Amino acid sequence: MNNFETIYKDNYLKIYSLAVRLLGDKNTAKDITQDTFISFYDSIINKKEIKYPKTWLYRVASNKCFDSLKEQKRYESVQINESHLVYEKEKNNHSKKRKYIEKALMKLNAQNKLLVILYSEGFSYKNMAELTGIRFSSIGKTLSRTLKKLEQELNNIKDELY
Amino acid sequence: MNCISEENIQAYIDNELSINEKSKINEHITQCEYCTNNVHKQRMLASMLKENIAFDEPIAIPDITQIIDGSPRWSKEQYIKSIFYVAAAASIVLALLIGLNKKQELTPELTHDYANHFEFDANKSITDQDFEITIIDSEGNITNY
Repeated sequence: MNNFETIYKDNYLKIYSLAVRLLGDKNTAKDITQDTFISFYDSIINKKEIKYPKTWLYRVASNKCFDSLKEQKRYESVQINESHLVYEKEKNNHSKKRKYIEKALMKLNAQNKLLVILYSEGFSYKNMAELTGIRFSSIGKTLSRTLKKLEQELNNIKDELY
Repeated sequence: MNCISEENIQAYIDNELSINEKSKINEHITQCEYCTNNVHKQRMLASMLKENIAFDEPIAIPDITQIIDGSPRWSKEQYIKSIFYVAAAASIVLALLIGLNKKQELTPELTHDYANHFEFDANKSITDQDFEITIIDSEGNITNY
């Protein structure tokens, strides 16, 4: 029980932020985060062995997000809608930059978006392969291409604005 | 050594190469300005993205009892689905009840006995004739028409 509480407190924000960035919708992200921890709690109660809780939580949460996206029939391309963006208020240049990146992220497909989020969280290539379903030997290539694409999208967004 | 591929530069800056591969790249970039620039560019891009993708919005972590006491176990979607299922079940039950009521209406009243008193008056039309019907149902109730 204490163990669960520690894992819950250590990972809640991480799982929530993963869901928000994958879905672009805070309410669904909150529901999915809660569902993920309920599944985790049920697994502990049912004495299922979870070797790496953090990886387990990321896997379950991202699968739930993909299911949710499929349900909304927007798996491959999420419509860019201002209400989907997480950073609604531009307080300074820093948050403006974040907003652009958030917008550029939305242009990626769900798998690549997950890859970039995991990369930003410092996951190893091995874990990224496990969580995204991309072959371990292809992670470096996919990652460098995706980051380039993200940079290109960022430039396009800036061009649109200025 | 040929110039380094983007894939290997990525793995290099992410510390995902073996010691041998890493030392080969280290050796190469000391002699190749093109690759040194590429390593620098990719490193800058990675660190810029890492810094700005990091989620720093302050949110309150919900109380753990919401998870473990079993009270709000359903998500919003599940609630909506359950409401839909309950509504569908209620409509079916309602339809069945209405159907049964209609059937009951159609069931003929059981009559135990009946008698009629009828005197035909030839001077009156058929609609003006007087007659009386007495019905005694199975419970012994008498109704006159």
